[in-house]
Order: sequence, then C-alpha cells, then structure tokens
Amino acid sequence: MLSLLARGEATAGELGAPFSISQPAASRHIRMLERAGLVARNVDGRVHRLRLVAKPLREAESWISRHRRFWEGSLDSLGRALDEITRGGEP
Amino acid sequence: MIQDRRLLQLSVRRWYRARPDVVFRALTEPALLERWFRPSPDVTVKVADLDLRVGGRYRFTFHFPDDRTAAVGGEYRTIARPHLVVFTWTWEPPDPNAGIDTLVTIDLNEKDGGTELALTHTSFPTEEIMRQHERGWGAVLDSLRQLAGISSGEAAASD
Repeated sequence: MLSLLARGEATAGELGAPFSISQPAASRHIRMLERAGLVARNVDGRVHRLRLVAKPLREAESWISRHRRFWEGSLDSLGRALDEITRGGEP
Repeated sequence: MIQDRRLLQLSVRRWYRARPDVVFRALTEPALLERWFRPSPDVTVKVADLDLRVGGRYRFTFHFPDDRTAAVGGEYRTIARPHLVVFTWTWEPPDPNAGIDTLVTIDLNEKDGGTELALTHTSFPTEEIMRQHERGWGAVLDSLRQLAGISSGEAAASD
C-alpha cells in the first residue's frame, strides 16, 4: 500500500484493490498506517483521498543510505589495510 | 525489548584474506584502527578513547576533506575474541543523527582460509518515532524497511 501511495494520492478503494484482502481488512490496515503517522487522509465530501507522509520514510532512507556508504567504504578500506598488515608480516 | 524496538537495519558482508584474529585486532586496536577506519582515503580518523571491555567506552573523531569534523562514541556490549564484537554507536552533535542510539554487531568467521565479516547496524527509534510505534508502528516495520529503498524523489513528490 505504501508503495502505491509513493506514486501519488489514492482512495481507500484503489489502495485495497490490488490485494486479495477484504475491504474491511484494507480499511483496518489503512487506519493502522494513519496511526503510525505514515499516511494522511484528505476528506472531500464523500471522497477520502490518502497520501503518504514522506518525512519518516525519507529519514529512514537517509539513515540507511548514509550508514551503508560509511560501512561499505570503511570495510573496503579495512581490506586494503589488512593486505598491508599481512604483507608486512605484522601483527 | 531491544528486538521489539528495532527500527532500521543494514548489513554489509566482506571476505578478507587475513585470519579472524588479525581482523579482530584491526577492529579493536587504536593504532590499527587509525590506519583504516574511514569511509574514504581522504578522511582521517583519531581514536580519542578505546576501552575494550564490556561496558568500556570508545570515541572516534573523523576529519573530512572539507574541514568538517564528526565524532562518534559508544560502549562495548559483547566481546568474544576473535569472533564477535558488539557495541553501541551514537553520533555527537551537530551530526544529523546525533543522540540516536544505534547498535553495531560484527561477526567474524573463518572461511576459505580467510575471514568472512558480517556487519549489522541497527537503528533504534527517536522519541517521536517511539510514540508512533506505540500507536501501531510495529506492524508496519516491514513495509517501512521495504520502502526505505524508494527514491527521495518519489517520496518528496507525494509529500
């Protein structure tokens, strides 16, 4: 559902449609996402449109990509240092 | 408890020709750490503090080519030479992730005459996210992890 919302706003019906779950089950899942602060709802008459609240996801993505770069770079650097250490007969 | 609070996790694996005891020393001895522990060769690192025992603390400072500095510190939680070291990891201000306690686990296993290193870095939620967690965050963790891969562009477009 979050992947669908990442492409833009959707109604509750549109969100539940691709999944083999009942409409009440889809609604429960959407309410849970709203409580978690990941999804916000705009009510326009009888049409409820849902959208992704991107901030927590952006923060999550930024944390993961930043630390992945840090560790991948550092562990490659460790490989080069280990080659030197081993070649030098130390430790 | 810690497992329940787990929010985000990343894993990196590498294989090294050196034996596990040599890799373990490179991960835990200040003089050796200062030779390699940096994300790129133009960064320098200083080991300001390192007390390798359970409950002992460490602190590293990084100096970047643009003159920016960063510091990270934490506490050793598990030390099982030469196979396992677990420590907390917290950036200091003004880092954007300052004050967020995270956990790093490094496993070393002998493989193909060398060492397979498996690093796992786990982030715990901020207070704001903890409040969200209490309101049902736990059930959406998998979606969140899956979505952490979506591009910032897509996320920004729907904000």
